[in-house]
Amino acid sequence: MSAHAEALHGGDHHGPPPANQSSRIAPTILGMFLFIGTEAMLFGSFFAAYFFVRVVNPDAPSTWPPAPNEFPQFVAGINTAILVTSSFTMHWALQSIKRNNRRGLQAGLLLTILMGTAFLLTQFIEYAHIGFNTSDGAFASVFFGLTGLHGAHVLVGLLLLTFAANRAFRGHYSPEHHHGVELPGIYWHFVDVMWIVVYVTVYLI
Amino acid sequence: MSGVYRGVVVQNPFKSEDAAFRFVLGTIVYFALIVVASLIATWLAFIVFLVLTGAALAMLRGRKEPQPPREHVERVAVEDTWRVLVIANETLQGHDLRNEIVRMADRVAEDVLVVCPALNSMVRTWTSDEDGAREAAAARLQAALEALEGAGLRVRGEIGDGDPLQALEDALRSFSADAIIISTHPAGSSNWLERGVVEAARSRFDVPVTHVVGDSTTNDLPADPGHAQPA
Amino acid sequence: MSVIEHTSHDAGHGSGAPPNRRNILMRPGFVRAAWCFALFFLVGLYLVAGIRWLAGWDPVYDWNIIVLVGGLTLAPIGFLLGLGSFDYWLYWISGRPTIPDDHANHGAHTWKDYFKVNTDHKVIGVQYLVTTFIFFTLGGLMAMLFRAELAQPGMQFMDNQTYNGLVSMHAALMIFVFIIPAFAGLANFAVPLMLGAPDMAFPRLNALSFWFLPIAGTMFLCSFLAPGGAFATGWTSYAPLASEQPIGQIFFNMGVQWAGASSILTALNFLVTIITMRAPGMTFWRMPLLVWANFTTSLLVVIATPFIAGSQFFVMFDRIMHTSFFVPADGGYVLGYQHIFWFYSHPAVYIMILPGFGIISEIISVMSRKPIFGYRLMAMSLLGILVLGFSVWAHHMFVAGMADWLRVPMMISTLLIAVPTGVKVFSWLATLWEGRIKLNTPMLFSLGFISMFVIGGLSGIYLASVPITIHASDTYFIVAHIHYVLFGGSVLTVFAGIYYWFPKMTGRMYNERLGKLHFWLTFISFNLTFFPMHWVGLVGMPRRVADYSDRFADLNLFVTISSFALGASVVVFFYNMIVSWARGPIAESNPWRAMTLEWQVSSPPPIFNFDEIPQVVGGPYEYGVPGARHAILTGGGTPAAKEAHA
Repeated sequence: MSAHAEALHGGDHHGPPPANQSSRIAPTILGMFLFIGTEAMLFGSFFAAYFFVRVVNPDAPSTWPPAPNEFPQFVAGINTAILVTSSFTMHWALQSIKRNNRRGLQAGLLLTILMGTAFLLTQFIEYAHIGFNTSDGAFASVFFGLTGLHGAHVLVGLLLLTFAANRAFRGHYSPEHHHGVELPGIYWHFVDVMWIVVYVTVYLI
Repeated sequence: MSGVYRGVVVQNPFKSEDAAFRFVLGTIVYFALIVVASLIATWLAFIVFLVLTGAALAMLRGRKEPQPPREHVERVAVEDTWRVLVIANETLQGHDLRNEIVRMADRVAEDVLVVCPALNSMVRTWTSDEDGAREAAAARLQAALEALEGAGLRVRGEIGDGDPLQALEDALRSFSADAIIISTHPAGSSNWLERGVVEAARSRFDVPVTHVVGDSTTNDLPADPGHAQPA
Repeated sequence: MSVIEHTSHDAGHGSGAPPNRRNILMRPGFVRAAWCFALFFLVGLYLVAGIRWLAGWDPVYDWNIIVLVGGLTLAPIGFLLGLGSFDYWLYWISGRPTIPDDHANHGAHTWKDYFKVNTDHKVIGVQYLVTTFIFFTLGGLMAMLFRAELAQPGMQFMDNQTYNGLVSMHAALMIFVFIIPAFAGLANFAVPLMLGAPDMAFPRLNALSFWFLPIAGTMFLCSFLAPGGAFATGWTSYAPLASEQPIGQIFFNMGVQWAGASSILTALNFLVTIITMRAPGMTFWRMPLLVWANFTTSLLVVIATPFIAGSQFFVMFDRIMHTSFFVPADGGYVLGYQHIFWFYSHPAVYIMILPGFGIISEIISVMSRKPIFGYRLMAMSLLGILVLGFSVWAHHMFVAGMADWLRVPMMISTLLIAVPTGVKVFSWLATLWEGRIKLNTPMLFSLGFISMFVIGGLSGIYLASVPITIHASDTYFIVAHIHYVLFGGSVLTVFAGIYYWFPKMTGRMYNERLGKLHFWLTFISFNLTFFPMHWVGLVGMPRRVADYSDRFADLNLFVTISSFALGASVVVFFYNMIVSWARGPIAESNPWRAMTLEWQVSSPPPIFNFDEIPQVVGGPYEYGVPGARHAILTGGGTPAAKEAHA
């Protein structure tokens, strides 16, 4: 079966012809944005569960969170500030490499990773002191579900950033070729946006 | 995903990390305003939400598609042959067009390809009902080819896509033209001129484009209105 | 292909893949996959036990969690790692130089290449088809098993729980690891060729997406070995029942996640390929309808599939972490599972049919030698189905106890979907009208599809109406509807597509007489099996029951016998495929004289599809239009270098 193919085309060392670019957007960037769309829909399903528990359920609690529980809005607010700042440092890292400022790239990536780790640690501590756990009712399920899903995405983002930082310190990336930083950057901004939505809908409203 | 030079259907604003970062900033502003409004009154929060969402959607819609990049047409120089690509539909049999082609072909061997786009109404384009348009284009093309051959030119013809710029692009893929002639009705009665076909062709392709203004009168009319405008 | 960045210090050819000089334990392959699988399971076991011991939770060895984390999450990752699907990325992560265009794992030169991590979309397409048909066979055998039980009233040789397990497994296999990935496989093979692209946008991701599939199917099947038996809650697996079932249930929950991930990654690949890698001159309105269909399907997958992932996560959380998403006593909302589940599973049925519509459009146009009637509207109707498909999910919940006011709007939107679907059916009929019809096997399956799908669609119109569903819900009328649209619809298109592209995929021609025999046996036995179900359902036989009232006995016996005939008909297909691939007559590059780009290269295609990317100058269906061309191919001197003329 495949001998037939080889007879026709023995010696395929030439590689594929370059594909035509039929769109202005780079394929990997488009792929990352579409992937983010998928992850946003996953968050959407968790938000749907939240909506059912809090709004649709005829036995929904009248206060949110139901008494006597409370959400640590202040600590989470600090966390929000940390994460938003990390988006700025991420953007700075990318702006740096576009201008061939390697130190800026490395510093920006490190700061972003640092702040992301601080976010996660704060979240762990918050979980330990919050006063309820996953089996304490539907509101807790929704709370841990949404914040936990988000935390998992932060972890993935930190991994991607670490890989990018590793390569940045080894001298990779240039003003022309930096998709390896841009893609984690876009993902990180998505993580930030998602946190703002989670924070507002779960903690504040 | 949008048309070559027509109106944009959907534009994707998310093409880079810059766009993502701007989205982060936008999200912060959006939610901050809603939260502040909700602290004042719930109905106010709802109104702010509606207004901001509308603004966001409007911003997504209002972008103009930038021009496609300039395409290079490989010149296939075969001795003295001058290859001319003509795009015309209703003005195919016009006197001015024929004069322009003759003028271009003067004293060199010519190889003229006439492409007649199968222009179609909007409804028929969307229902893919092309047969009538193709037949009409074929009839016009046939008559025009006979007339041009009668003037001593070496010509051949093709029916092209209903969109004249697309027809031009398709023809250039197999016919490396040295010059392009686009023949339209006068300004004011030309659909193509209104849609900027000539300017688009000039910016898309690095082949000199001559615009001939003609009408659909037959060969028998005297050489009266219409001026050939060189590229 | 996409290049993330260039590194200046590339260390020679093939440094992106580990050299094959290593011994069999360390080479990427099944041996390494096996011990990595075991190792990762142990890591999971001790990770869970360790955390539970440190936190002081009792019992330290909670097998629910250990199986979930160790067996169903980490062990498959170990398998994939050992197989070599992450190798290139691991090199990239470690910061070592990589060669983005390393083609060491590209293309099939021997049969062994089909068992590896291969980046060639043509190889991956065949891998998908063979794997999905293995699951099709297993799912079909299960159906025949429980049809044997249903031949007579009373319980003959299985108990209720086993019966439920077989029914659930049948549906789960057919839906998640047969139909959806079979279409992905056919599209994987055909779409890059049709677009004039040398491969998909992300070939390594493509390879990884394929290998998720055998993991998912094996996971489903392994639940038979779990204490308490296979998952038995139906493929719909409603909460709160699903959270309280024996451990076999989580094999379903996680299997769905793996199958869903495969589906999503493939869809991402298709979307990026279709948007960014079309040949010059191929505008969206010059794409073949198979490409349009896969574009729309991929949008559906990317948007909807995360919802079923979410629903399965919640069920697992309720079981393992004792959350209360669906526990009403603690504030949970039981119906929420159904809303979230069906928000995916309704678009899922469109995911399971739209690629089939694309295949049929291709075949009908070619075999009637006529352009597709109303090509642009065919593309728009696909988009119409995409949009409307998200608005009808609650028609699966008419009798579930949801808010009354939701029923009528869902009924209206469900009825509306018949409009774009009807546009397509009438378009196909108009394409056939006055065409020069060639009644070969792909065409027979296509014509069979149109008629059977219309019947299934008609029963769907009935079911769209709330009062009728109140009567017919959970009866065999639903089973009849499902199978007319899924078997008479989707499966017939899969067969049609396989026969149509068989010469291109294998370079050999299938046996036409056996193909026609397969069609007629299938068509007749299919109708004999499923048509009586309309009647037996309407007069009151419920679905998903192992025993039933005596008055249904005769029809059930008839259906069982017919179902065995249907099972037997598949043997003809397998025989034809295997023997023809091994020693069928050599096929030419364009046996159907089709205009789309895949037929303008050799059969099978060259390893990188095209020597030079074709240039598209017209639509793909201009049969009978004088002087019309789809594309110009100038590939220097290959046998297939010619223009695609009508």
